Amino acid sequence: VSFEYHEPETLEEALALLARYRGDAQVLAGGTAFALMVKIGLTPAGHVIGLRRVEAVHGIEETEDGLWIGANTTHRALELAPELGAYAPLQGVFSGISTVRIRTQATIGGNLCQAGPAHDPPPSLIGLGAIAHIVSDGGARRKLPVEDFLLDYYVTALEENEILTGITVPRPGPTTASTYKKFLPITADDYAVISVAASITTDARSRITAASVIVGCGGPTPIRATEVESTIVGHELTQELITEASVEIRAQGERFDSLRTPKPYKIDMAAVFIKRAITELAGQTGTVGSAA
Amino acid sequence: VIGKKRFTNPEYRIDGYDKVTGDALYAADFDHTDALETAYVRSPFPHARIVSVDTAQASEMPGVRAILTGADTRPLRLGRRLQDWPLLAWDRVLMVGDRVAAVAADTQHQAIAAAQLVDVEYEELEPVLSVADALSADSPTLHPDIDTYGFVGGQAPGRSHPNIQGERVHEHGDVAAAFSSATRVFEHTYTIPKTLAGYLEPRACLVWLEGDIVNIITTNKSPFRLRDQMATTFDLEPETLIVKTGAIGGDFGGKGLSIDEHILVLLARRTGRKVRAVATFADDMSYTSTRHAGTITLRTAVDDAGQFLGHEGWVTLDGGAYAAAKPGVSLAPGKAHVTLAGYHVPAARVEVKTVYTNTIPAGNARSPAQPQNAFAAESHVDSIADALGIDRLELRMRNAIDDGGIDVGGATWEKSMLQETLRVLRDEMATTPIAPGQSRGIALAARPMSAGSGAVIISVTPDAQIKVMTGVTDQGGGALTMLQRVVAEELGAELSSVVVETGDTSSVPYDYGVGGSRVTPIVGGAALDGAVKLREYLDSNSPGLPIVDQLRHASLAGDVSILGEFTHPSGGHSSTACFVDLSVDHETGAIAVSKCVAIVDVGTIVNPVSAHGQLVGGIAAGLGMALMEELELDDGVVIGGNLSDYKLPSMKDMPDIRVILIESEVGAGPFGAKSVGELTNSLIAPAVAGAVRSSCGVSIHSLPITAQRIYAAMQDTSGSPG
Repeated sequence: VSFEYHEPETLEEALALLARYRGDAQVLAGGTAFALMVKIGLTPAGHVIGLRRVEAVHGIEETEDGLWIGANTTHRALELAPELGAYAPLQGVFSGISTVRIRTQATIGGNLCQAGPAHDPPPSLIGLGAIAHIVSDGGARRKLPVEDFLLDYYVTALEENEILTGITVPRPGPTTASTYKKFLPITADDYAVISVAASITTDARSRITAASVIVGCGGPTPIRATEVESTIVGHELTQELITEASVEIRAQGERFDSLRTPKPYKIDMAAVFIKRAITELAGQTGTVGSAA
Repeated sequence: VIGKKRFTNPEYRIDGYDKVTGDALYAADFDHTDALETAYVRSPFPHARIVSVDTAQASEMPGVRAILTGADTRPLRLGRRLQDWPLLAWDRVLMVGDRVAAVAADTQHQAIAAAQLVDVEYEELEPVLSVADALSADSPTLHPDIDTYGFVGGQAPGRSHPNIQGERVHEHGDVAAAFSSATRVFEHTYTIPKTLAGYLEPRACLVWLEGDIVNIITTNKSPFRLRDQMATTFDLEPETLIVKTGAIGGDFGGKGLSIDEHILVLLARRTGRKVRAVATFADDMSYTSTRHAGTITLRTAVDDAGQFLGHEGWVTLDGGAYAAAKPGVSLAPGKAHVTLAGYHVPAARVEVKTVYTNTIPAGNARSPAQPQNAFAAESHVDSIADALGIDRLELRMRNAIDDGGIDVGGATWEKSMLQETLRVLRDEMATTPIAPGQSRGIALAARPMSAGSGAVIISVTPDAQIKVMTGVTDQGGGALTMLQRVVAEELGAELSSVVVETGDTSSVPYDYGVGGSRVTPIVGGAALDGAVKLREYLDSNSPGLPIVDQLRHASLAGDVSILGEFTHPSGGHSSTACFVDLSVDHETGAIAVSKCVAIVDVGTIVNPVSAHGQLVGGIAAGLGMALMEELELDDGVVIGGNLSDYKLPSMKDMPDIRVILIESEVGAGPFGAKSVGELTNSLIAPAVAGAVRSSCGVSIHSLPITAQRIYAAMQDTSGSPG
């Protein structure tokens, strides 16, 4: 393995390096995934551009658009950041990833750009409506929902002349409740077999006005349970409705596949964990109807 | 603890300080200045004919000092007993990862780069990927020249099919009569996947020549036997090979096999240089050796009271591409024929087969074949109890061997501790109620003490210390500390005055190595014998003086060198039983194990901390086997050859574990020690299976017992109780 390592100090320098070595350059964040890729024999580009000294890709900050999280922010920093308290369930998502050794090194930007199918952050970020901030070597900036940023196994919408600088997460309203559930049936030290990020927003009459239900680990990218969402929106939650809605995940069956665990089991477990997630939220918001 | 105690203080591990400070030398750490590094060219196919091997381009690469192919090593083969594994394949490759060429270069990167340029042309052959395929009438013969292979001591077993590695039938009593007199006959079949030993240090070795002497530093835990195996391969006098070990980073059965040392000898001869091989973890996982996968069918005849009258067993194990990893003369893993361990079986017939397939070879891992058979047998016993409506523990107590009983291998037991072990289990279960939502499974296991001999040399050093020289390597079990404590105890000497060292094969008496849980009883026995003899010498040399002064006198007297010896002809058993409490999530099938209590009949404990660690570690290993471990293959290719995909239990997965020692019945080892190493790991999978059956009514007959398997069985409305 041999490559030239660059460590620019500004975003402009980083973009200039990306332009200069276009086609043979790779951006490095925390490096945990990079190291694994190299170990299994995937050859890195000739030029690796480390972003750790670039200030523009660091930081956690409240903005008008919500919480700004620089791409090079580590999982550990996010786990410990008090700002995340208002963005449930993110704190728990980050504290639940791997071990503290990995969390201290791995970053949110690296995680999104790696685009692994079983990663924990994407379902919750998508559920909260997070936006990816992207800049190209020509200086052009664009924004893209994280939901549209992840395209396939290890494939993102990022062009080879672009850098992900960070994300913004819209601040959830006071009547929104969110949770993230992981199914770890084999060992606690594992990627989830299935995971579910769910959010519900209720009105004064305990009716669901908005819902997002995102399934992780099911297929190449997180799966939005559109039919589940539409089944509960506009209604007051009862246990019957939750159970009926959760099996609607089957409508998304095409998007599941059998990586590591057979697809039929993943779909059934997605329904179970959707039910459990929504039931928990109903309990939190006191919206579950008397029929339950 | 039930019984008497002699060694009450926790041990201070001799090797502990160096290990926690990083000073301990493992095989890969020994001075390798100027050593050439190596890389292999490996087969991508499970079964193929080698058409040609072209090394021309690779030879021109920078740093390359030698490239060997099968043409250079033919017909040399390696193996612990049957030498069927070619140093490098020359005509056919029999597994993915089979080695066809070896490169020695100045750096490992250079060796790897050159190996990638060796051009091998293959003609793919139909792979034999399952035992059933291998034993079919039209299966290709994987080892047509097997009769020409070397065999290290003893005679190769006969075989009824050319793809059989080893075959053995045991029979005692009148089996037919037993079955015809039975009121009920039960038959069940169980399957076990390939799994790993689970050590963390990959294989490593360093080889250099000095005249006719071959020096080897290795991770092998049986250095004398490696010496003898290599002597057989190369047709050398064993004494011309000197094998040395450093610290060993985990074993769990796997470190008795060496597969690089032999090739390094040839590379050292070719280059005149020191040569080193350090396996990557992924290569070690994917291309070396696993626990035997297999199918076990058990058939047992019982009377009205559930008394076992007769038993039949068929154990068919996937031996993989080579039998080289198996040390036993039968070419089956050690306890393959013990299908109903611990029970009184007046008549039995058990048939064992190990079979060649085009997959990763199978060898020793975490008590060879004992846990596989325990899973089958204890699940079988649960099913019989449930079908007869007899309490599972009660059925075990009715059938567990008592003094004078006959085991499934036909041996008569004396001083059986099984009934006592089960009584303690019963009492513990009674005082520990099952929590709401939980269910409980139980199991028992037993193993005979290994027979054999051991020897150590005890001397008094010029600075008046007692020095114990042994051929035993410490693979993490605490062997050296055990020897120190035995000698110090016998002589009434301070621990600090007893030094224990592992010698190479040229400097210490022959030692069989670590395995079969033999070291504490047998080598410990030799150390005790040496200590007794030393005391006799000291008392005659300087009678009536304190030990410190006696040692000072002895050191002045000059060479005191005493051979301590011990032989255990046979006899004696260790018994264990456990209960496991768990809950099953009926919506997902997920198991949460909450409690495990093991009762272990251990005799005298020498190293209390290590013994506890081994017993708890055995439970952890058993949980891995029960719940998660499986080395998956796809068309002969090991998939998930890493510890991210191949799961071992982590600290977070451990239940509340309690180990209750029964020390009242003494063993044949020093001060009454028995074996500890290979007991609790066998208990866990069947206990988990039994608890799952109690929880949700499904019988899982295949390991691992995953959420998905339980869920699928629950979906199957018939529930398949049986």
